[in-house]
Amino acid sequence: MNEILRIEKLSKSFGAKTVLKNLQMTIEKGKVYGLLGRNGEGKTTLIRMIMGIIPADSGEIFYKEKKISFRDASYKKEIGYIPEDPFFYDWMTIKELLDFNASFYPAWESSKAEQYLKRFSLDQKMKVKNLSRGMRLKLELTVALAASPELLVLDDPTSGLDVPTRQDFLKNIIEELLEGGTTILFSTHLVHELERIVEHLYILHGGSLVLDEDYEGVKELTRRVRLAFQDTCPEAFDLDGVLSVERSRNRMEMVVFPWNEEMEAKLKRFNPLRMEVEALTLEEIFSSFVS
Amino acid sequence: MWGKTFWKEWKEKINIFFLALVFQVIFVFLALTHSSQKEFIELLTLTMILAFFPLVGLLLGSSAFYSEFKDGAWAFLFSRPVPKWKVWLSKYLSLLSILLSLLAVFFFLSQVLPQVKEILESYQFPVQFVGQRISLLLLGVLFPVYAFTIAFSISFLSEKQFVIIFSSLFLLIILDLIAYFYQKNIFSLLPPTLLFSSGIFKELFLLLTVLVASSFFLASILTFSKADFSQPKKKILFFGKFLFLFLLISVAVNTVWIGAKAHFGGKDYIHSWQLFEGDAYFSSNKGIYKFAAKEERLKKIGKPVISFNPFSLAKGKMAFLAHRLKNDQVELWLMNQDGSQRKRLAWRSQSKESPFYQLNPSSCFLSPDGEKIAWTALPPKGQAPLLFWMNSDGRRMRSRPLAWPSVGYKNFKPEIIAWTENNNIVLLLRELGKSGLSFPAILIFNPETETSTILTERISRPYEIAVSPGQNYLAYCYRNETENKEVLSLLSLNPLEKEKIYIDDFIVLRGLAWSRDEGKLAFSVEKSKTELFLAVYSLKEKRVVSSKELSQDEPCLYPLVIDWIFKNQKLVLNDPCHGYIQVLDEKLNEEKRIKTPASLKKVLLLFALDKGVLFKERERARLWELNLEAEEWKRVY
Repeated sequence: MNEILRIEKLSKSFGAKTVLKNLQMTIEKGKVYGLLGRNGEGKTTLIRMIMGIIPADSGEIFYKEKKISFRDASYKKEIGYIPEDPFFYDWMTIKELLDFNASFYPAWESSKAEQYLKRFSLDQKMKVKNLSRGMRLKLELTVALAASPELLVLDDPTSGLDVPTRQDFLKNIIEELLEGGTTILFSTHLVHELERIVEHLYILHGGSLVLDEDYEGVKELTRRVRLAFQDTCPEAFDLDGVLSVERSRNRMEMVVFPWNEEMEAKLKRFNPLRMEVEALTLEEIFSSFVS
Repeated sequence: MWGKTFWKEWKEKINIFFLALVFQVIFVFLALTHSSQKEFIELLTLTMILAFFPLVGLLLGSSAFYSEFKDGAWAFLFSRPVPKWKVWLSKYLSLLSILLSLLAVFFFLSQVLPQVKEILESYQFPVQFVGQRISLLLLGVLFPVYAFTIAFSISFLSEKQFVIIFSSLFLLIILDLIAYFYQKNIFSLLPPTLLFSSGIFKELFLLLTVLVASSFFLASILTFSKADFSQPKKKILFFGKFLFLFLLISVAVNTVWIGAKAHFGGKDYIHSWQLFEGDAYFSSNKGIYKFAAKEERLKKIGKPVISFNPFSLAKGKMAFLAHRLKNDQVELWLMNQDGSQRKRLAWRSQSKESPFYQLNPSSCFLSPDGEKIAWTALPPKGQAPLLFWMNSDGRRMRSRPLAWPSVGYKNFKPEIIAWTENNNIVLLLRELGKSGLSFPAILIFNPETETSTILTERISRPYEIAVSPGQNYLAYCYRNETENKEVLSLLSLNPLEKEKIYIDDFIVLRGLAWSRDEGKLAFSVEKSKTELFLAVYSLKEKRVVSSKELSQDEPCLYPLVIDWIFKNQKLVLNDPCHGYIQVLDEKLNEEKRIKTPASLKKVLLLFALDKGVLFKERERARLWELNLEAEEWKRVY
């Protein structure tokens, strides 16, 4: 069994607005999954449904092949979750907070918690209310990681972290987690950060997944193509795989996925004077898919 | 998890706990420094019970999810690997333990403050209607927990604590009003005798409270477990839907329970009893009965009524007052002693054209020949009570206000206690609004001449007034202020003469009993908590002809009932506290002592019959006849 999480036909609406529509997703063990989307596209909603925080309108979620309902809670013992805005009880000290959380997770390792505290330079005796936003995020990480999760779900966790910590997290911690067999689902809008670590990419747009591919494959197969024409650009330009098109009088610039010989041949039929093809950054890929 | 949650909630709310403790310390300080001011202590205690602790409950409940919800951080709660209902329940129990701890501290402190302890143990808070009370102690626990549960149940519906607090207060008031109107109307399902059944109001009050609180409890825990918290309006609707459903179920359960009670009759109760011409008449929740003593035959002669006042019996007729508790109406009825020809003569009417407009009959009496009937009626406050009289067939009704400025009291309640052979109606005037332990006067009224004579002595111990069987004499007790002594006095009603029988410094008159031939009056007085004095006064000789000291091991709060037996030659007396019946000879020496069987619980002597003595069990609606010769107990009812 390689699959850790599977989502089938998941839908969710808030009033008249449909946020997610028949979403299908499979997450395999031991990989880093990136979840991208614009603000309001439903990333947090999806994560909250996975975490059993809000119920879906329809559809099913399976954790380790077992269907989970909104009422279920035991599967969460194996999932570490870092929300966008961490919440703690301000009056607690860090030690009290860790002890409090430890009671919920059977796989909690106090030694790990201490290790991370040291790594993040957090003093156990400090009161939570005296922590900065960055320190709170570090504490959030500590709590999530000390529980030794099998699946780590991160909802834009790094936006408040200082650069060294962010780098440490993205480079070292994630590596350590992967080595330990932890699967990571990483939702962020700091797209460039994901580039270093992501293995599989999801892009949410218009309520559904517009991209569900291995990142390397996406990187390889997404290209910006610039075409120059003798006279004006062709009017009708409706090809599958063209994500975006920009025109000027006799030039066209498009993003194409997947870029292959077939696509090249189709474009050549328009008899461009010149054709230039270049690779894109993840950010550019993302923008193209959601434009 | 449970332990950590308890610890966490206690630590989070420790300020509230300590603040509440500080208030309790202030309370103790005030109680100690004002220990001589009983009313002040009473006010303090009631404030703590009825205001302070419910507010603490409200505060604790409303703040339950405040820290998690104020910044929309409820997602944190739900992301934990704990079922949501456990999260809810652990919080509920933790905060409830804080409230109960505070209550426990208060009740513990009250044990060392005697006055507060007395108030808590003895005060009975009126629930509704007559005779039904709930102890302050019970209310002191119930009300704060109830307020806490309501506030807790809605605490996650808003992020703003003040909204929760005010909503809770609003709900408490609305629920109280709804419960009041529901109860008032639902009682129409109950027969009037069941309304008087002890405990039903308290049961209903407790049941409703528990059901309503449970409805909130269940709706809340369901909403917490199943609702979508990212959509506040949907969450509130979800809660409202389930709350409505559970409240409907509660009302249905309550109504079914009342229906079952109505159907199965509830606890029986004997309201009043009367001896007439050697037969016993009594009313219970099951009906009006006559026990013909000679034949030893019990016969039901009328449908059940609630009748607090004694019946009036004369020449084959019987008059009584029936109380309709649900609308506080009293009706005057007349029937034959075999139950036939029952008719209603007077009632409180809402019609201005009626002669009984807003007049509740308060006492009734038949003339010795049974041809006439008189009754008193109480109008709304501030107006003089009325005396009505008419023929038993309902004709020639007359009335007259009873107002005597010389009496010196604005509000009094007259009670007819006798109608003499020479056609004098004898009334007692009780003070309204007081405990009824003194009368301003005895009034003699002649319906033919419509004239009256009044005695202005203050009469103490009104329950010791005894009219002789032929209604020619009245024995009563009063306080002689000049000599500072209690006086037992005899009033001849026909002709009108007064005579003092006994003057002494006794504490209380315990019992009075006329011999059937009106020749003797036996009485007992309590000289101290453990000394009783029993005497027989002869009307013929106009002196006390025999007396005896009786000692008792410990004081007894109940009247010592005595009566004449064996053709007025001997006395039977019953001390309800000591479990035995004594038979005394003419010289008041104990001739016989009969122990009350343990299975009968405590018994109250009613009166002597032809062959035996009639007793009522104090705790149950049962009547027993004791044959004093054979020493056999026979159940009559």
